[in-house]
Amino acid sequence: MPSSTATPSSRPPEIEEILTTLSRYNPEATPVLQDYVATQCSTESYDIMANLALLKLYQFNPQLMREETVLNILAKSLTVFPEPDFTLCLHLLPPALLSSYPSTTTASSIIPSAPAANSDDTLTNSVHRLTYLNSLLEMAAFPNFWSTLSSDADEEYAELVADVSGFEDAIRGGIARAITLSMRSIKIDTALGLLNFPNKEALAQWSVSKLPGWSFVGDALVQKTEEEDSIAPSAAGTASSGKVKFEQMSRVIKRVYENQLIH
Amino acid sequence: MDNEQVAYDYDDFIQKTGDYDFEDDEPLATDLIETETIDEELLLKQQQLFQHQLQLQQQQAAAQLPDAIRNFILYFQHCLKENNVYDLHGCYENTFNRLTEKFYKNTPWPDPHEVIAPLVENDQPFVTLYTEMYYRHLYAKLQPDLVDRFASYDNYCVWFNYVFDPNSPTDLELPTNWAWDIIDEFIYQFNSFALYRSRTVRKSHNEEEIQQLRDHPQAWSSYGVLNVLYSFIQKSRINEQLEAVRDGRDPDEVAGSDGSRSLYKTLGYFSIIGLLRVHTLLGDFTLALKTMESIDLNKKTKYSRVAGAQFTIYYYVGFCYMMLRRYSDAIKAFSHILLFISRSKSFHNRSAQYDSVTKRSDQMYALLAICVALCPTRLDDSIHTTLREKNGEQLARMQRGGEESLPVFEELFTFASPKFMMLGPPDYENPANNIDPLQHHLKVFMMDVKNTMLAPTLRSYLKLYTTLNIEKLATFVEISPEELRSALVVFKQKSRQVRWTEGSLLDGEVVNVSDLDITLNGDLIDISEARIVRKFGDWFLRNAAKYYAVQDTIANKNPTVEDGKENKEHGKRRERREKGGEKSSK
Repeated sequence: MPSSTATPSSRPPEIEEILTTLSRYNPEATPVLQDYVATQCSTESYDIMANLALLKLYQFNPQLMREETVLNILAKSLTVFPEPDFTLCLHLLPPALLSSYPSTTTASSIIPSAPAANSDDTLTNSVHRLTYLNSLLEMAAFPNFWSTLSSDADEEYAELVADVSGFEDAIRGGIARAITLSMRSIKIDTALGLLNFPNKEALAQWSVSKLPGWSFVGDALVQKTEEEDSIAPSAAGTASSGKVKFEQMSRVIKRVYENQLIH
Repeated sequence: MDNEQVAYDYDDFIQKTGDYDFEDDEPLATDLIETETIDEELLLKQQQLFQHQLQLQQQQAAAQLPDAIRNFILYFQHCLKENNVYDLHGCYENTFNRLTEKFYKNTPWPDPHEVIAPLVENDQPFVTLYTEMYYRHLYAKLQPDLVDRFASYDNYCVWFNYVFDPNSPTDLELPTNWAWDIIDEFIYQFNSFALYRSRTVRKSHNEEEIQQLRDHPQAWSSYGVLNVLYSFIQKSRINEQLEAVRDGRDPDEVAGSDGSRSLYKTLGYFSIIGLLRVHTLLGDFTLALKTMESIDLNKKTKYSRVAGAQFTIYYYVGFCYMMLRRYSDAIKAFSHILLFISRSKSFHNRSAQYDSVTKRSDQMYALLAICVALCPTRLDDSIHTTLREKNGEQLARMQRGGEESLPVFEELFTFASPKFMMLGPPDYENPANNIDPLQHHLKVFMMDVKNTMLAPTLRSYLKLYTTLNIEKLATFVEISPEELRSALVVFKQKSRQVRWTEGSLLDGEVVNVSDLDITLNGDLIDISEARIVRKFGDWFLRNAAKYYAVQDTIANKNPTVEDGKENKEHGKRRERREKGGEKSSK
């Protein structure tokens, strides 16, 4: 999996031009980058460097800031979890937006409760909601994530990601990567909860293309065994090697040679 | 002088920057016109009187200069004029510091415009450079006030304009160290100004100062500072040159007429490092690392001899990696430079920057402790020992995890992070909106730390088993099986990190950085642990070298190594080894 900071192939030349020159500080680049965010939302492409550049422009010119775009950037960066992109965006937001976000976790459970959306400022509330969604993803609390997203009590959550086409599938893709990385088999009931599918049929249909290498065995989804190679820790092989490079011996050899000269 | 008058001086000064001519400056006399109505004749008389007094003052001030200082200034100016880089280096690096120690330990150096300018017959390039040193000394030893801050900024502008002036391309050359110090200090003062400004707006009720800050939004503005750094980079075409070097071509082919000159090249190179720092201070960690694209950290250049630049590079690169959650890369960066510092300690002992080096390395040990707590890693032996001495207790608390570890993370982060700043001016209307950016970045950083709070506990149990039931572990850890499943997925995800292998600092491959690997198999956890086997080859070689050193000591023989540099390093290592040997023998 490549680092998400690499240049995506979908980046058009005019954006590349902005990002690699001083135009990235030119307020006139703002509308171009804003349109690009809209394009990313509608075409399921993603370009973190362009989005960070836009947030930076907003820092320079707070009067140009468009709330909708900021929220779309944040929602979009959720789709690449567990990459740190969401927090990279947070670092570039005005501090006042996060200052009232609750910083303590509740003692009874490790899953935090949803932040009370009680600020007068709607942008603050929205950023808090997205930050909460991000922490659920970061904690791999996927069932909680889905239930929060589709919560009837607070429909704002669904509203916030509505602009991002393919949002749910992108998140499912991320969860699928997490499952593939950490599991060899998983009960179907658990998988339904993690991936937010109503029944086995929907999961089966989806898993054909999105979970390659996995198959249904009894009441479980099982990963084929050739993947096992990647499960064995790669550090083991290198750490135990007792090889000594010739260059390391140079001092010893030199010393022996010098001693011979002396005697 | 009272405040108002100084402020007036300053305005006048602003208007005249470029060709600031001291002799024409009559602030007091003009002041009088506005405040009192006096007939012209009297005014003229007063003016003359004032001129006369001023001249007298100057002469007196110049006369009061200790001979050592006067001679130094004249010699210094002479070296600059002659472009004698070698002696300039001596003046700058040694004499200036020695004289500071002797004459100006707690007082500013002689005023650049009132005392020094007449002494050197208004040699503008020299006065500007002297002013830069004057303020640097003032910032380091005394408390600069707002007027000093503005004036210092203007002086930088004057100097940069002089360097950039296309009509008179300067053939000036500066010692590499000095060029670094200028860029370094420029950013330091920029940062210091931003902190001063936000502190003034948040806490103080000094309306006059706040008004002055509002009236001068362009002073030390982020745009201005970034503009200077980017201009140096573009003018020197340093990125193109570095790329050429990397591809094995001749850098002069792409350098152009400006870029081939040593001063531009040097300032361009250091401006890249300056940008790394500014972007980090502003919280843009990706862009900070991206800026370093054309610099190959593993390659030695003449710039890597500037110790201050090296410390800065590795501190900020390491910090950015940490914020990108690439802890193993951060650990590598910190370890590298800390090892370098500990090896060259005796050298820095004598240098003027000893205190700042010590502080920086303390900060980096603190960051290293954070990274090691978040990503358990085997460190270099000597780094590990020092880390345990400095932050041992904190590290232990962080490694235990849980709720109690959070304040330690916060404490170390606050101590060791750069002095974050806001990009724009503060909100003058609503002082409450001006939140310390450190708190903001700390908050975002802690969100991630909180997600790994459970990891140390899980680790300690998982190490004991090869397979374990989720239900069973859940009762040990006292959380629900579902929460545990999530925690284990996080545990596994965190063991995979992007790690640099080659190319730009942002590139890298996803690798396993943990010695403990888990796989969930239904409700069972399969655990495998990579055992680190001691490298016997290394061990024997190290001890063979030790043994040779002892032999040499007994024979009292001087080491015979052709390369002078290596010679020194070996000598130092040997010294240390001997010390270690003595201790253990006692």
